[in-house]
Amino acid sequence: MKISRLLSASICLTALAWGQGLDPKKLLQPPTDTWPSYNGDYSGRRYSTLKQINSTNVGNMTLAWNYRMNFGGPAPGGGTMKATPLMVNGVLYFSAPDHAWAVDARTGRQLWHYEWKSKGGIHIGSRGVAIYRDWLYFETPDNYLICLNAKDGTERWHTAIGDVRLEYFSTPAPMVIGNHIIVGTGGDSLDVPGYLEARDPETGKVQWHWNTTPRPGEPGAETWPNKDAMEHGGGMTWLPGTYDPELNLYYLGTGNPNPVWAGQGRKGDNLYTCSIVALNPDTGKMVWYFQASPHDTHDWDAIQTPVLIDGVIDGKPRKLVAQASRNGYYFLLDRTNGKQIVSEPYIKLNWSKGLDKRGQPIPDPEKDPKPEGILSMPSASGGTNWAPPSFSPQSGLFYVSGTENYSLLFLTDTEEKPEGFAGKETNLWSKASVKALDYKTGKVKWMHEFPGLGGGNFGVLSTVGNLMFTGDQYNNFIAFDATAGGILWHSRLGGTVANGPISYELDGKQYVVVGAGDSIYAFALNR
Amino acid sequence: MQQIQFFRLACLTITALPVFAQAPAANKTPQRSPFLISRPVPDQASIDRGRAIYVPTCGFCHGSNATGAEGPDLVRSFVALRDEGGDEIGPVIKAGRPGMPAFPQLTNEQIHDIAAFLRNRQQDAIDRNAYQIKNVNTGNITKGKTYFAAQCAACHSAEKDLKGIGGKYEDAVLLGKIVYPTGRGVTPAARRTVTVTANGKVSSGRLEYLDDFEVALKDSTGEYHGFQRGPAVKVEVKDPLSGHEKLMKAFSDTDLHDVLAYLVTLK
Repeated sequence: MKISRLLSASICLTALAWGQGLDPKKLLQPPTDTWPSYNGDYSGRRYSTLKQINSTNVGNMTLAWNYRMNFGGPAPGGGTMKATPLMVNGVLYFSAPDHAWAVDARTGRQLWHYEWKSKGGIHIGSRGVAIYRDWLYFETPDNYLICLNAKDGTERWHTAIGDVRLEYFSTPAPMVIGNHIIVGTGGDSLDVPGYLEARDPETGKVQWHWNTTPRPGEPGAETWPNKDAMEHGGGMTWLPGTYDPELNLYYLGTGNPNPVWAGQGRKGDNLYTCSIVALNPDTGKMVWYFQASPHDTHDWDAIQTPVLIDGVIDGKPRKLVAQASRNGYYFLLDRTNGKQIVSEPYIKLNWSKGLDKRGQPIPDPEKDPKPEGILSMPSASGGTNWAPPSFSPQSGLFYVSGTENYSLLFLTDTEEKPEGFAGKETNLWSKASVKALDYKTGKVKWMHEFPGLGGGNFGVLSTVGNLMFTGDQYNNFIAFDATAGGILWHSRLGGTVANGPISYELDGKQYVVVGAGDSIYAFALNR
Repeated sequence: MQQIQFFRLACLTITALPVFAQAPAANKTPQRSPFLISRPVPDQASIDRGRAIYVPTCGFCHGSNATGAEGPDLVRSFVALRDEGGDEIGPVIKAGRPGMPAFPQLTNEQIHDIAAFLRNRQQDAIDRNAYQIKNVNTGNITKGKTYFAAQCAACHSAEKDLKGIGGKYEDAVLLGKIVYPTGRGVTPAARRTVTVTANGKVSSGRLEYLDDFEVALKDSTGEYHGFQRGPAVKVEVKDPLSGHEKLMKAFSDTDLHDVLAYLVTLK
């Protein structure tokens, strides 16, 4: 029987003492008494096997506690709770730009707060922390990877992972795989190249570095017109990916190319931007890719979680990866080799002329941004955005918080070699909904459209209790019947759902925890 | 709240489009968007002095806008981006490089000003909120008039509600309003109304709020009525903009620009 390298690494680590820290085995198990990584487990399903709270009793769910982020001063970036908290040994750990906290997961009482003195960078959000044994890791807008002691929030070390002077700013939650801390970075204001790195958990030193765009002579270089275009071609790594321990492959969605809205200086497909890629996490070598948006000119990154599904297609068990992509398509691929199975729009879109022989959408050049403006469906914010989706193996449904939307896109930089965003957008109309897609076909099994206008994308959680949780644009946190789609419960919070909800069990009690506005809210059954 | 959400979106759109204000003079730095400033922006006098030195000294090889010619693009150059007040570019300017002459005569103050000019050019590329939209009015007036008569005239009139519309907005704003009118200039007639039937009582008026759980209205006397939604509460919303929602899904970019060309003539 094949034992993965990660499992053997875990067994070695189990022999060591990790004190209050995370037992590395937990990273490989469904999340119940812990939520040890961004998506709860490596699959990216955001699916809880806890059923104390379920579709028959969710009506009795009430607020257990709430915690308002205490910045000890002005809140950066609007002070919104965008991080998915981790829960380990009864403590929740989470971050905001330049800040990290620990709070008691039973009561919401703050245990410690850490503040980083920033050198700058765009403070748009921090998706959360990672934990490796006793150590926490998080990234800052000025591109430092910071390692903290989980028990008291004291800094162990920090190390630069990018240069703020080149307009990089880091948002992702790092991901722990074996003894690798996988870090990405963002930054699309200027035309800089994207990359992903593995860092040593003890020292922060670089283990490997993978460029999302090729350098001259490398595979993929033929999809760029010249060296300058590929070396300034963007492709940011805004979010953590998912991992299959058996295949030892890390799945990541990459960002859009730069300049963002102008394609004339980068003719070609612009690999490996807007792609789902499979990397070996020990070497950083790419094994396969699938490009969601060849030659994107709409800011439609493909960073949305590549969700791992062990499913059945045509009667055969298959290892699959699914993504509801920002460009409006649902993709289903074979995750062993990246071969496409389904490419199906889940919202109305007007930019694609069909599929190429790899199953990738063919962009319509008529819908490239033009100086006089074009009507774009979806808008640049996309059919969905960074907010995490969920897959329930119980219902077989892939849940995505989607937005139908329209905007005008103007090309403002008509030079041969444009720079930066190179265009402007006017958002015109949007309508938010949550859709449940049949994972095998991408067809909508049920959907709920929220009344009125206004968009927004909200994180999703599904549970074995036949529940699906998400938000609407009116600050409601809502529980749906996961299979049939009706609303079963709701609570109005102090802001819109801003992160992906999580669930865990402590002392025999199941909690559902969500971030909204500047606070975290924990719900449990009122017994 | 419904409306507030909606206006919030509209306001965002407006704040994101300061470009519709008068285009800045070529030498003037546009209003900067604080969100997109990740480093201190140099002062205007230093930028102007730097431009005056840069253009005749460096512009021939690096382009007068610093976007590159024979020599590298200094907006994208990692050396120029890492520079702080001349510390990185200074040694290169003074000593030269293979393929680039030396400029030992330039003083530290002059190099500092060149660095300020380059930093400002980089911020021009970074600051997408200050980009300038080009000519939007590219359609055919006659075709626009025909389209208007066929698709828009049921609700709108060139002589009544849209009289003078051509002088009212910047072209790019008007283009957006043809698709879906939001923000400034949305008249009370465009607002949604609602009729709620609850406990056998019928209330109607201007829609104040609607989500899956709650509906609220203000009646003709300005009195507020709020309801929790449920199977016994019937809600009927009338949206005067539903015609735009229908058209929006069918508009071609050509239709849109033709209608704009026609509306711009309605002075």
